[in-house]
Amino acid sequence: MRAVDGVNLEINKGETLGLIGESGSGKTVTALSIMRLVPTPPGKIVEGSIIFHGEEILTKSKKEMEIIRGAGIAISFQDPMTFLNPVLKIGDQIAEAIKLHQDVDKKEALDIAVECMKLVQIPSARERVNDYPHQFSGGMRQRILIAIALSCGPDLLIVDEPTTALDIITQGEIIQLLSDLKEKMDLSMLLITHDLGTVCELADKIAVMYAGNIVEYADVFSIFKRPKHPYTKALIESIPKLSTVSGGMERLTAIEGSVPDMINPPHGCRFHPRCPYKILTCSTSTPKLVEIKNGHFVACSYPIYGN
Amino acid sequence: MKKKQQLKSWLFTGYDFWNRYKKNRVAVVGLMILIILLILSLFSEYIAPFNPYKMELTTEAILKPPSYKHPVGTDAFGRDIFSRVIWGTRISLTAGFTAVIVSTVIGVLLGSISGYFGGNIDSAIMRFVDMLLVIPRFFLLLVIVSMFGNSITLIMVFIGLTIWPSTARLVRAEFLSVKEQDYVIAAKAVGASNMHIVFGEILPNAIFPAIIQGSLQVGLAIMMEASLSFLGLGDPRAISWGRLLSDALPFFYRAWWMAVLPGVMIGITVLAFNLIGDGLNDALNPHLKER
Repeated sequence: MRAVDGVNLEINKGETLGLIGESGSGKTVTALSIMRLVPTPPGKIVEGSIIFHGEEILTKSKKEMEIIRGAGIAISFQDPMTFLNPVLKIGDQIAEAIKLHQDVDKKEALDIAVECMKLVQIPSARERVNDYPHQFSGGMRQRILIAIALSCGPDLLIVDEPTTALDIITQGEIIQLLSDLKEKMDLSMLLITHDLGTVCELADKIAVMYAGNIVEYADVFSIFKRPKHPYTKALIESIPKLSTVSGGMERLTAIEGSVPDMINPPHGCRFHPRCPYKILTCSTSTPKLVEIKNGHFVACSYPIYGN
Repeated sequence: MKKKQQLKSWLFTGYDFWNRYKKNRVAVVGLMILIILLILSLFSEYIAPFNPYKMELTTEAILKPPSYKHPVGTDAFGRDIFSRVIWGTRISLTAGFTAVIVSTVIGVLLGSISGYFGGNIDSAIMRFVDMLLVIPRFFLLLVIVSMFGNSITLIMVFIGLTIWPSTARLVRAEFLSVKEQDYVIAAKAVGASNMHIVFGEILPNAIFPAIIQGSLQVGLAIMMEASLSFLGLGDPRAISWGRLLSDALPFFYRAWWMAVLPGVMIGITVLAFNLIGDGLNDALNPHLKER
């Protein structure tokens, strides 16, 4: 079973790439693979290469990977409750990450940890550094996860679903935080989410993922205004809109069908059973990602032109 | 300001723990018994009215029934039994704690390696554990003592060697479940090495059942030491409750009082540790459910 099949991504310094797709499309597995965190039995990287700062990551040793994880590439995970150790103090959890990459003693590490907490705008950082995870709210815990990820000064920050576990108001705060950090630190970010609003605010480029493949890849504006892949188009159209013209009541458009079974994916294009534009070749040949316009890539036998 | 907050945080978790422990009334009683036993063992010189070794081999002094001077009488050598029981506390408690420390260190070490790494290492360690579990602990202890000697320090360590397998099993089970937790992946994601994850992340979570088992094992270890001494196989130089019972055996009809206090002490001590273990269980488990 191939959770991720044929993914080509590129992130330049200071750029934010948004990786969007439904639950189960393989986004988190992609992120974990970049850091080689997929447990190797049962998982396996079959083919391809991951190049970071001009070096191939897949051939690096265990020790070298431990250095890259945290200081080179860092990841902030999805569920802030389960990804924090419940019996350790927050300050210690951040300081632990710092001590792994810098030669500092416990006191200095804690001081840096407090600075990291301030960076993610946790109020009363110095007082709260000795608290436990269950003493924080969900939004605060998400900030702590981001703080841990940033504590070693990574070149690439991968943020996995930063807003999914939170209420709408806190979501806005986190998006604002990420936006501020992006500006202040010239951060390169891989933003993984299924929330189109988040990605629209923060990303420079977007890659759309479906059933383990990248189906479209372009800059933010093109994705939202001129989507070429039927899946992308359907995603954009499914965003609920508050209509002011007819006084409200518009039917929500959904995509027919459901995400394919990854053990037995559909033949040819994996989206074709749900695609309103499909033609005969869609069920037999698998489209490759091709550049149809400057910087705009699509994997479709019959992409949408016009608009 | 920082120091005050650190104290507050420690008090919060320590205080919290005490609050939960307090709820089990009998567990608090167990703790109080333990404190009394600790005082008896630390200050034996001051509390015991007589020298426990001093013999008085006259017909008037030996095998005397309980009196004002000798609250539980004297033994066949004229020694005051009350004082001997008080001094015996030291040996029994030391035996219990030492054995459990040995058992917990070995059990936690092997259990964590087994649970975390799995595979062939796990199989090897667990087969060894199974082998040891087949043999009844006491007989294993008898064999070891007869082969390697019966000085009291050795006995304490040997008892530890007979009880570590169940701790190892317990710790391994905890490791198997904790290592699948998300925060372990998070630790890997910041570059933590295996050693760091085992001791820094997983162990603080996995240790709770081992602590509870440890407190129950103290009672068990004390019983084992007493049984060994009762059979006459313990350290002949050490004053132990089991030894006092074996001294009392030949005089069971003539001077029955000799066996009462040592037996009662063993019973109360083991009960106290069982109650404490129960209390720890209540205090620590809701914390786990909170997650």
